[in-house]
Amino acid sequence: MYVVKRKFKEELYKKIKRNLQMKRVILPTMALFSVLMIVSGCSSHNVTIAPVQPEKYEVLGKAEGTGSGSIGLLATAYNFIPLGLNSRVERAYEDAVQSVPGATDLINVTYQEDWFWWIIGTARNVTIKGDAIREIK
Amino acid sequence: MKYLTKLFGAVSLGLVVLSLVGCSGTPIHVKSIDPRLYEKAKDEGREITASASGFQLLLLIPIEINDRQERAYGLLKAQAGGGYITDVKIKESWTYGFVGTVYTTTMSATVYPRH
Repeated sequence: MYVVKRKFKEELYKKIKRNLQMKRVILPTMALFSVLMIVSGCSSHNVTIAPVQPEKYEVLGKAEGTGSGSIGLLATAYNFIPLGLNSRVERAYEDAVQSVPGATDLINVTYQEDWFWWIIGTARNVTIKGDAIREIK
Repeated sequence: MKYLTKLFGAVSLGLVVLSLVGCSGTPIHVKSIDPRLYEKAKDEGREITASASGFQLLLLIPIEINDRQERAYGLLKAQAGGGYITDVKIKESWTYGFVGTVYTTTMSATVYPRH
């Protein structure tokens, strides 16, 4: 009986030791991963929305483009996963330029951002409007 | 049971209204400048930067969120001191804040003095 009890105790100590060792590895790794997720990729590029107007150009018409992205997931505490959020401005500008065939840039730009909550995340929608132009060289 | 149904209906309606209300940002208009106006001051151009932040509390409560672009542009114009603002760039960033998310709009541009 005494031997069985001792063996059981030893097994228990081994299990606890193994769990602690795992925690020592897993917890810092998770913490590092979370910090990296929060710090990295939380910013868009510097996107030109109103470039220098060329000296000679032709106005092709009105342009409009949108770019959307979300941040999730579910509760506020877990709200650090960007889903296309950081590239929304870039995509909105490209979409606006491409909305008018032959356009190379925009002038007289209007920039607006709307947002809505969709239960598991919050979506942000950038709209860029302006006069589509083609530079004459 | 009837009371619960009514309560559920009211809460659902409230959530729908909350998700739709106050979700439009203030638009900013950036007028393009004819480069001939600042041709003589081309060597005097300087870079300016301005930013404005807002906080989105508990996913759907906007605190100074919807007008942050307007505020950033206002600060940029104030820095320009009446000069010609050209080549306007925008950067949208966010920071995790546990009970919400901080959103920051940073605008930069090149400004030329008026002579």
